[in-house]
Amino acid sequence: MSSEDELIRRAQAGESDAFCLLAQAYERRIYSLALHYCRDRQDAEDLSQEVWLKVYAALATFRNESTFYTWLRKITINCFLNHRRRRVRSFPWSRQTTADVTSGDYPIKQEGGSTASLEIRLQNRLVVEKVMQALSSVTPQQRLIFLLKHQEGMTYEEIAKALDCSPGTVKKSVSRTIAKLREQLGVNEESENYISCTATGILR
Amino acid sequence: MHNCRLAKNRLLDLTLDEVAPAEAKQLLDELDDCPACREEYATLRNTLRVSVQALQSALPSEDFWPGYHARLQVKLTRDLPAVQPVRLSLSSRVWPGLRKMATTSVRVPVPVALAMMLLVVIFFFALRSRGQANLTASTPSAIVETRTVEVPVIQEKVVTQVIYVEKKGRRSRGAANQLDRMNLNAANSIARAGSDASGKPAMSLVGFKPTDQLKLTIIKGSYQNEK
Repeated sequence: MSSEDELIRRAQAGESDAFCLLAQAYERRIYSLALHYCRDRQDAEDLSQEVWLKVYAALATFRNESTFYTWLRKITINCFLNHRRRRVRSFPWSRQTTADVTSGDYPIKQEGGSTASLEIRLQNRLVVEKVMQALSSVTPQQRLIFLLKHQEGMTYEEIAKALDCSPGTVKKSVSRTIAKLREQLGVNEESENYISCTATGILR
Repeated sequence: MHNCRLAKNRLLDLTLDEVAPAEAKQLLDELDDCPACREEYATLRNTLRVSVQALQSALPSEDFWPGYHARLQVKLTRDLPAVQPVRLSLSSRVWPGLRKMATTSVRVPVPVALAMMLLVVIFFFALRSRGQANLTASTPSAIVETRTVEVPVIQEKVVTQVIYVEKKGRRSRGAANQLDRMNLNAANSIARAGSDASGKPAMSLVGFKPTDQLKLTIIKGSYQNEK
């Protein structure tokens, strides 16, 4: 029995310490997904914590029919979709804009303190903002599908099954999101490494 | 034959690794001969690469995670006791296992499957023939006994023949004797005819000539008709 299986067994028996250790193994992936989905640090933290509470509540239903992460991701997706519905119900007039993305709240990896690195950080932030603007302009479901495809590496079929839609819908959704990204980024065939290019001021 | 419109529809799938290897190779070969499609493919790839790089660079730095984990742990420690884990009943735990066991399919190569089927058939016939042998051994041999049983068949036939003859004295003795002989012969012939091969009494009175009045009553029947 692997250490993860042991942790799951102990957590199912009610040991909260074991569950905390289990959460530690996957907290970064869940938080990253939530951050890119919400595009707000505080929302992402709240949402990821909500996911873990739901996982604990449902842990007894995990029966090793799939990997733990596959099961966890399913709960995460459901939690994200419910979160979206709650937001729509609570603030039906509000539509998330790029304000929270461009306000500087979005975390950017620190690359050092020199002037050159400061320039890289600024350029990177610019690119990230463009990507986030593109992701903001699509629906939450399209954004989630794009993240599941590119961040989680799921296939059309897996995403379709998780979201209860057809693979054709998934493909169309990814296609629309990529079209928005192309429109925002203006990437052409010569932009081999766009993030590095921004550091040299090639960003258009 | 390369078709740009059809190829462009598949380029996104090719970029997203949703194309079978053989088709991917064919598409890439086609791209070598079509600059427009090659440019489209390169742009798609770069867009995705930039997007993924941007998303990765947007992740929090390493110093973010200890604080996040501490906050998560505090939240879990505080809220977990309030969360009621779903407890599964015995039936809901056993039933999925049974269902899974009943519906699980195992891939078996065709030759192995055929061999197994053949074994099952041989086993079935062997079992059947063995059962028949046991049955034959355990059953005692039948003794054939031939016995003739006489079944009484009631065949009763009563033939009553009443012949009225003329009183003596009303004619001459010689003529009477001659007539009596003739009547007697006729009665005998009727009696012989009544016991013919078919067993049925004769219904005709051929050859019988009554003198003045003759009444012949033939009663046939069995004991069931008697009262």
